[in-house]
Amino acid sequence: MISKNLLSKDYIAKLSLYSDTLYIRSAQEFVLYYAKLFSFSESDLKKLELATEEAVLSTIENSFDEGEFGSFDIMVSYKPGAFVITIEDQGIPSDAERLEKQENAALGLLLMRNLADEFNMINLGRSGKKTELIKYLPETSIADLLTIEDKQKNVEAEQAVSTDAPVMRLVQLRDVSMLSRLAYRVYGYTYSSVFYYPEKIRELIENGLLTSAVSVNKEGEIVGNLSLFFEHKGAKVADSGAAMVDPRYRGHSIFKESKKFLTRYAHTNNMYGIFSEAVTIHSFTQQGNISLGAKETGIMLAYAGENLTFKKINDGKKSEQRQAVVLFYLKTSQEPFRTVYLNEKFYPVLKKIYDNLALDRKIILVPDHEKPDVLDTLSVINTAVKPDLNIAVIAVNQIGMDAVGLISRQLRELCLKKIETIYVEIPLGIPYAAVLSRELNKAGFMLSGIVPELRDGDILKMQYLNNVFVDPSKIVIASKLASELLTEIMKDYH
Amino acid sequence: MEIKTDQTDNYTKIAIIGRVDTVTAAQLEKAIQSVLENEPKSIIMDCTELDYISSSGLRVFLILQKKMVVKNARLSLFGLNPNIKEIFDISGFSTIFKIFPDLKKAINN
Repeated sequence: MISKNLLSKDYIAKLSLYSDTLYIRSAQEFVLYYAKLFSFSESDLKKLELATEEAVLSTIENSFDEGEFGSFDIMVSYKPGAFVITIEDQGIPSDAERLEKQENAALGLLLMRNLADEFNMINLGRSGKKTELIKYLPETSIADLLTIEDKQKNVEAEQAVSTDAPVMRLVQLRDVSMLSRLAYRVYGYTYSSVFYYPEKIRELIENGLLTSAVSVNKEGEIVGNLSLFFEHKGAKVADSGAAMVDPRYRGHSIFKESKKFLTRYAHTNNMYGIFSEAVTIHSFTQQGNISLGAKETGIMLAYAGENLTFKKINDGKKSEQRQAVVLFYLKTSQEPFRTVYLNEKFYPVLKKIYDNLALDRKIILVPDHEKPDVLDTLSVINTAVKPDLNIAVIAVNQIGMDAVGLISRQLRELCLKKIETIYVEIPLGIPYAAVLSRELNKAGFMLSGIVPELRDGDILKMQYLNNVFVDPSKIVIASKLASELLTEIMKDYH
Repeated sequence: MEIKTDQTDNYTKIAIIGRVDTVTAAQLEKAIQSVLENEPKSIIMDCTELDYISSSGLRVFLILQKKMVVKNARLSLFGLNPNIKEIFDISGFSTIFKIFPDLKKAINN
């Protein structure tokens, strides 16, 4: 057992090794020793062992020139619900061209992507880079816990319709198992994974990363949920999601009331706003958001996997393509004044979005012929890959002089790994953001939209589709503004 | 890692015992090269005691497959345990190689 003290540290243990394949086995034994303390199954331990070899080999082959003798650090740590392996080196930045020349590289990357539950590649500028492999801790999923009788009840429940009005409150730790049962009842086993694992939900709540408005019937069952996900504890904005309504309780306006509940919560807690994603397989959610005062800020074309089903709305039919979602922002408290810088091409539609949002903003158009200054330093980016959705998000935390090249190389690596949709998030608070967004547009990134106040300021979101088919006629849009945005985005779709 | 080779009239069986990783892959490659010098018409890889393979090992399999195709010779694998089979599935190698549950089926096919 590892003490809570150690679990809360940046890492549980750290090992420094020379960049030689001789030390791969040492790295593996090091990782396995600590992984075993978390009760992983033999199968998961094998995966961790192999993922470690691939990650270390990738570091040795790609971070140092041939003949160069460097070193790297390998660390194991804990974060809520997950065991994390981090490999950090101060070698050369990753280079997709070198990667393509390495016969093993593409195969090694493919294995890493599938053996870990998530992985991040973080460029630390002059401090080097790190690769994170994240493996969710073994938990019992709700599907394993449900008895045959429970599963039968789920089937019968879908036939019945309830008339009693549920009561709404904030989620408590004792609710986690019931939340997982609700997820299974509503989505079967097609939803993104964390909600099927009660202990994972518990950890997120305990660490201030999740809260929910839950609806409870007179039997004490949770029959509705809407959550707020925080990027970090104390964040001033949150992502609203995991909307679930028990099929028996449709027609009680649970979704709408949950939104109002969380809006009041956000206002009371001085949060600037709540953002959310509304599906486009139907218009109900978008209309619901608009009626509550939320504003459209973007469209993500190929966000949700095509195997997501909706029970009882479209008779459980699978969507025929990766689903687009409309991004919304609901302001809940006064935000700080900010200046944002937009490129010429995106300015018209983004200005409309900002006007509709009515945030305290000065919006500057940076003409294409202007060459604003850029920081005389290297960029800091954080790339998170979500294998269950097959998407990646490149978060630009600092725009440096190498930003365009760095992001382009990262894009190529992600495409080699067959990630289908890649997002880049650019802070809009400096003039050079307009240049970066223009250059990335030329490199194939399409506009997606903006996310207000995501990281101490607004973020421009752009999207790259890696051989993903999109038929705009299948995207159901509820408003004129979102329709204009979709038209603008599709101009760059080829 | 240990490699055992067994040559019959109709095929050559190569049994891999243990791990094929970045360090041992070269040893496997060398052993296979030695077998190929006899121009076998059919090679059957016995993977019943193969308990670990990384991308370095998969690459050796791939190189062997390419050489066998050029020579119009057969390559089969059998006895992959579930963990190894999963790695072959993840990497897409399950569609490239002829994989059988046991030696008899590998020979008969």
